[in-house]
Amino acid sequence: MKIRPQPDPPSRRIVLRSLLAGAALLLGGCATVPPIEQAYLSKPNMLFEDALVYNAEPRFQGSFEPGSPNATGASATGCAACR
Amino acid sequence: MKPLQVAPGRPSLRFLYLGALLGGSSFLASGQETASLLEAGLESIHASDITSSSATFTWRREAETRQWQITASLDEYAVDFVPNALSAGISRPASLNEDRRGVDVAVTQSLSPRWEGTLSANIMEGFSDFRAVWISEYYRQLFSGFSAYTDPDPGSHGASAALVWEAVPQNVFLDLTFGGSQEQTSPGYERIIGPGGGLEKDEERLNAWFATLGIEHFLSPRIRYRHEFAASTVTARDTRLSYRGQINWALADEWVSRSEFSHLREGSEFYAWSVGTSIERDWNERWFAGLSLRFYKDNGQLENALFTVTSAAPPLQSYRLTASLRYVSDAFSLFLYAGPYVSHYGDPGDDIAPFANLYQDRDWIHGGLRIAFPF
Repeated sequence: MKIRPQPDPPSRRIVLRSLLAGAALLLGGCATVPPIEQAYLSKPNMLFEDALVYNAEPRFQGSFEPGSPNATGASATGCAACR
Repeated sequence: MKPLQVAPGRPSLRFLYLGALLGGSSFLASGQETASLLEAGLESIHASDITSSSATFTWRREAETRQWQITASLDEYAVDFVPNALSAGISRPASLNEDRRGVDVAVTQSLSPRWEGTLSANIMEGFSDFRAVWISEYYRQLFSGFSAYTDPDPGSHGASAALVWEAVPQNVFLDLTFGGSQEQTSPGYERIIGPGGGLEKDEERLNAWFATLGIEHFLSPRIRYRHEFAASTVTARDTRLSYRGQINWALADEWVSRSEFSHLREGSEFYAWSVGTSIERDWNERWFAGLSLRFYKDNGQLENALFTVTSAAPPLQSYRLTASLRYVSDAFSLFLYAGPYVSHYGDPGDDIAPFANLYQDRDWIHGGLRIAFPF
């Protein structure tokens, strides 16, 4: 496979720091909130859900941006029509 | 030269598959119904030479321990194909109109008070996006006279299974999804130079597999966080790994901020990242007005051309600004959004010259309407 010359990717150090920050949030920042204190967390626009009227992501995003996290299918994963 | 046409669908394997999906889902959906929801979405994005529109319809039915959902979608692409000056004499302008139709079925079953499972399957017929339409026309004009050329028959089908675990009751949720799909692409072609000559067809059928781990938890009584780790593979490609973090923050009684960051790598050569944030105000949780900003960047798709010409996209940067308005009531909910979207490609280089008009910078306008009826 021939690779087109690419700009330098971000350094591994940046990626590592991002992962460490995520891990820190995951492990250290986790708080147990009793249900009686979850009024703000339960607001409909605070949820991560698929309900169409609360999901603001445009449908086109995945096919326009091949490295987008919501890009799906083989064509987004690679370069389906590339030659 | 014959016009771009999609080959007659492969025989009924897809329809058998769809029938099995519908039949199985209907069987599983039996049980006492407690609520139903009908959702519809219309969306369009427009530039001077390309318009992409979509319509989706979802019916969701909830029973005591089971949820059943079916979604039908239609995507339409209107593309003004204009070949690069370098291709003049080989290719000519054309107005193209193509579409894609799809069905997605999902069944969610409660397995225990803290476990839930979902099975889903989907099937699509047609081009995956406007880019595939443009590239298909290019190869058709160039190579349809060769016996090795075949009309494209793009489409895909896939399935996935997911488990959700309430790890800490009402506080921490884990979800794990595995899935796979097979995609029939509209392939590229290349002339074989040298003895024998002829035409070389690119990989036409791609198999993709993916796994996703999601973790959702709270950072405080006002902050909800979700991590999403994903891995995927596709025929002839390196494994893709990605991370996406989303944070929703109730800044005040009526103000909510939603932000996200993502990073993706394919092997050691391709990377992409994005960052976005939005802020929304509500009035009694009935009216909501919001504004969102998003930035995306990658370093260009990998290409696998044998010789010197490739249709792989050069590095891309894009910006999106969206204003939104939502109305929520017991009878129905409505969501309206619109804004500009800018896509800016890096230097395409000589190897991509025939596709320079496809990968030109564009200023887009996007907008949509989504509506939901509970009943």
